[in-house]
Amino acid sequence: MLDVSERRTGLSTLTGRQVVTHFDAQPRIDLRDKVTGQAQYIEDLPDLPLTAYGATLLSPYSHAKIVSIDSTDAEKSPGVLAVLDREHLDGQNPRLKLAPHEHFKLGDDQDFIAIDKVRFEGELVALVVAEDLRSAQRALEKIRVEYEPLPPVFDAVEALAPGAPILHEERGTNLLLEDSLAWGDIDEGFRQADRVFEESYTSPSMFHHPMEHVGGCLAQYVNGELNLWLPTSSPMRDGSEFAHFLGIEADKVRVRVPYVGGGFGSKIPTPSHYAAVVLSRKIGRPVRLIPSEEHSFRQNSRHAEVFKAKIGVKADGTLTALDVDLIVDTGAYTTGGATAAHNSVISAWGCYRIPHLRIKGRCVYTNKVPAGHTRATGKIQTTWGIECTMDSVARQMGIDPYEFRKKNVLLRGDFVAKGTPSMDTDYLDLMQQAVEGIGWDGRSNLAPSNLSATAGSRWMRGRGMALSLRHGSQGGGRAYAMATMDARGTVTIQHNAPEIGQGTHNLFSIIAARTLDVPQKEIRVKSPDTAVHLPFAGVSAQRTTMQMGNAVHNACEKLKQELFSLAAQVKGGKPEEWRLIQGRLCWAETSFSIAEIIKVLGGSGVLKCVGYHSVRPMEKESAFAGMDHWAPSAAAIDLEVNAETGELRILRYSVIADAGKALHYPSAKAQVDGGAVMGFGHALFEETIYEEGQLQNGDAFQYRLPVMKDIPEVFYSSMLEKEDGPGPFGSKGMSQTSIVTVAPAIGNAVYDALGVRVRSLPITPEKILRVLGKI
Amino acid sequence: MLRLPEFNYIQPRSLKQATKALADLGADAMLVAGGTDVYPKMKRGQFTPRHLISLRGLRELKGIRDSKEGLWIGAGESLTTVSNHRLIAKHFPALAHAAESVSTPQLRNMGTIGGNVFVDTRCNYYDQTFFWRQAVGFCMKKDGQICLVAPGSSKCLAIASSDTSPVLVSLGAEAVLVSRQGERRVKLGELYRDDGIDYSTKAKDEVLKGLLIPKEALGRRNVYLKLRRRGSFDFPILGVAATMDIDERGECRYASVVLTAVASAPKIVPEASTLLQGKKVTKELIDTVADAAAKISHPLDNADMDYWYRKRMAKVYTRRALESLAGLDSSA
Repeated sequence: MLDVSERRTGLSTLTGRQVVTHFDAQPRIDLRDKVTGQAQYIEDLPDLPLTAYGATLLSPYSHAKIVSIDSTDAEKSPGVLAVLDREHLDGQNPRLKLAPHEHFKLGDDQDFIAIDKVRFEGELVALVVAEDLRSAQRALEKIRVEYEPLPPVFDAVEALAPGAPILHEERGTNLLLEDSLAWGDIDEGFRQADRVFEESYTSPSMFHHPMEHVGGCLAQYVNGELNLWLPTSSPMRDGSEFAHFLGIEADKVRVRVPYVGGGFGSKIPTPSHYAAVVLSRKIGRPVRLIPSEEHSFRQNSRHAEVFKAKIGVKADGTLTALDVDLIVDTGAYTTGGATAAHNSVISAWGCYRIPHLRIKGRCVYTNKVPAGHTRATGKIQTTWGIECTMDSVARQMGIDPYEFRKKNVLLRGDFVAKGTPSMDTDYLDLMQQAVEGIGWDGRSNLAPSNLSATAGSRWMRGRGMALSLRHGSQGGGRAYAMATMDARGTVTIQHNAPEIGQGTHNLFSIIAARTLDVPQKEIRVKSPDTAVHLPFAGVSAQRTTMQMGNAVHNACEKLKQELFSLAAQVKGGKPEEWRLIQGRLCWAETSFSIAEIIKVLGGSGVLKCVGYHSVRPMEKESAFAGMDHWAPSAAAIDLEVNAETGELRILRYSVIADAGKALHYPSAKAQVDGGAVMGFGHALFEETIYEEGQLQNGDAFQYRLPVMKDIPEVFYSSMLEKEDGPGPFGSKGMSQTSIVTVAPAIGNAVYDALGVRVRSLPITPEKILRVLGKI
Repeated sequence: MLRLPEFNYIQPRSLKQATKALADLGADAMLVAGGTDVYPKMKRGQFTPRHLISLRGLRELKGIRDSKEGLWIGAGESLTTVSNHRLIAKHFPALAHAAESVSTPQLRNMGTIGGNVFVDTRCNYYDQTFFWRQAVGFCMKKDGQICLVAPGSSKCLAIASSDTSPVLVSLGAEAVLVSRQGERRVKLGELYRDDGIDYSTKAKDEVLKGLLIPKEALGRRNVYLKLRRRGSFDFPILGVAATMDIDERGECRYASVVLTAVASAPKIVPEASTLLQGKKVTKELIDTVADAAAKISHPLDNADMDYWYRKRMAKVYTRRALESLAGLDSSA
């Protein structure tokens, strides 16, 4: 049969799965809207009557005291409705409340607008709201802010050293929090080891850089109630945060989510959203805030990390102990620091059987743009560390890295850690498919040497692999969805899981159609609206397919039972004797249309059911929040590197995730492909650069995302589909697995080619020459 | 979002009207063709013209054709047209490749060859928003007094960033400039000056009408190699254009190597002609020319990739360019 995935994504040159369902062959339900430009994103939403426009003034300094702010002239500027800064708070407490964390008691540390000082370049200092954007921007130029610059610190290790500039003086230190994970007896583990190795790897901070800017919204505060149109990943959580900030009841806040132009963790409430809300309340009119590109880059970022490991191995290659020290740089405020540090700590051991373990993490403030959650939070950095470590240690032991991984990797059914499911995937299959995807037998060059690069070819061939493991569908409590069937037989799904690009709405329509066995065209999927009170933690942590998918499945199962009861009541038989087959209600030899049964309810009668999914509760004394399954991936790469210049040519790349069951194959595969493409950016180009006390590359041109020419021609991605997941129809969450394996696979392949190792991301030609000793 | 400031947009109907407007409005006016560099720079406050004189739609600036004297390329032709043109692809693959390597397809559809030849010099301290430049106290190229790359420098060190100009210079192309005083023809290479601010000797009231690649360049082998971090989009952080003519006996009759992004102007490597012309081209000779190319390259810490790397790559790329033209390619 036709391989639709290949046709639709246009990336693979090798085939993925051969057999497709008819759902796979259907385009995504949001596709036509998006291709024709009908889809509405936040900036496409029409203005409400009397909408005013906000513009933002940001701090040009990474660290400075604010001496004075004079906005007199701005207030008098034509078209200006109001100015908002520390002098114009109207009694609003500026302090933002951090969401409660399962493992830490966090102190709130950020104001939505700068009060005494600024702690990163781009911090919000003032806003103007005016009749139009140009008037607002003109007025902004008339605000005079006097700063007293302070020395900034951009490196987390330096920030911990004595004498470093302190960001939050009341804390007396830049250390935000510490976390740890341990099992076994680490000293005993090293006693059992025949050899002990030490390895160190670093990852820079980076930006999410979605196509749609971060920080935009349309806010309408009227009669003590807030209407907010917000591109976000978690409207239910955000609604309660805004309510708390404003001191009003949660049901006075209504959040609606249009199509979202990508997020990767960045689409969370940011100070500019709070400012728009405050301004709307202040002027009694709706306020639209459209962030500039430079402001978008300065809303949030990803954590830089330092990974240091000490690892003990027996002579036969069996791991005995792993001791990891992590430093996590969260930027100027806590933001996602607790989650990033915790995720790093609970996952820095990779996917291996390690009897004696100790991982410590410290989360640190620096004067960088605050770091929030990012696709595979805390996992990109630690996978880079542990997967290069495994490759390096194997080679130093004289063992092939593939064999070393086979020997130590967790197998299906293995105990993993207290409070987690046992291992529920097959790494041996993942690895085999990954190496086969690039036409490799998996054997590494155990004695690579750049010395052979003499007068002949300077291009050296190398191959490498990497594995990953992430907790799948973690935490978040219960997810709710509602299914409604009307008298025409149309089914409407309501939920609060935004369509942020990944295909949630399409997914729900397939799950509903399959569960009910009605045609997919009879399913309508609504956009999130918190007025329909259906809690969900948000489209993050790989929980949408698993948690919201199960909630939709559950709602539709209940709906089906209701329909059968009704049919039995009307036409006879017992409910359990009824079936729904391709949209028709069947009993014995007879069949009826759905409409025929529902219309007996009379008038506007509909059937309505709420379904839910409960995540596994967190176990006492477990470091792991309740999770539904594990989410692994494996990747392999074939490349050439020039020993003279450090240039890289990626020849082939392959990545395999475990989807359990891909419910819409092209969309699932797009997650695997898209993750890997992002991974190429992290591996080769992306990093924030701070120079002269400032962020130097906070714009779309100088911040270098990968372009199509940087993606290898031979790009193979596929999924294991053993239908063994706890999600609907055997599915699992897997969208954050392919992003993490690219960098370590490349790092390991560079070693395979040249016999030297780059230990900091991104892997650049200059760094390759440096480790070759050629500068 | 960044907004354009207010300005007057003047749409002349002829080149004559354009040169008159330019002469009348003086220093307050700027020319705009594709606008791919002008408009973003106005949004960032790097360019602050009161008037823009549009060259779009001027018939006199269009056309690519063979003439008695050589190949004529109208300055108003888009980079896409240049890169796809049959004659250019056939005779001057280096130029087609250089045009095709600029930025992205959308910008090449808008951007013109004339605009690219005189594209503004670039620097990490200059190519920033007003907001950013204000915080570091501005640099001498716009609104400031000193060079932020080398505070001791008396001149601006922004980098020549055109992909097409080194190729055209290596092919010996001439520029035709028009002002109210009339027309003049000058070697393109003579129109550049190694100064990041006044990087061109083109007079303020002159409009580039077109470029002429002389007849004798036909039949010469040519190649352009571009260094940048990514596979597309990025400006050159090193470009090497090489032209060579080798006779049947393997003797070099003509050789020219021109570098871009190693100074504020395209740099000619004199050793290419002095060492190669009249000789049989060998790997050893090529290495000597490549060493000379690296020696005259002065990359600084104001562009992507480390400056020492760019200097080193000047040698490698020069060697690769010449080896490929001489058929001595060693798969490197």
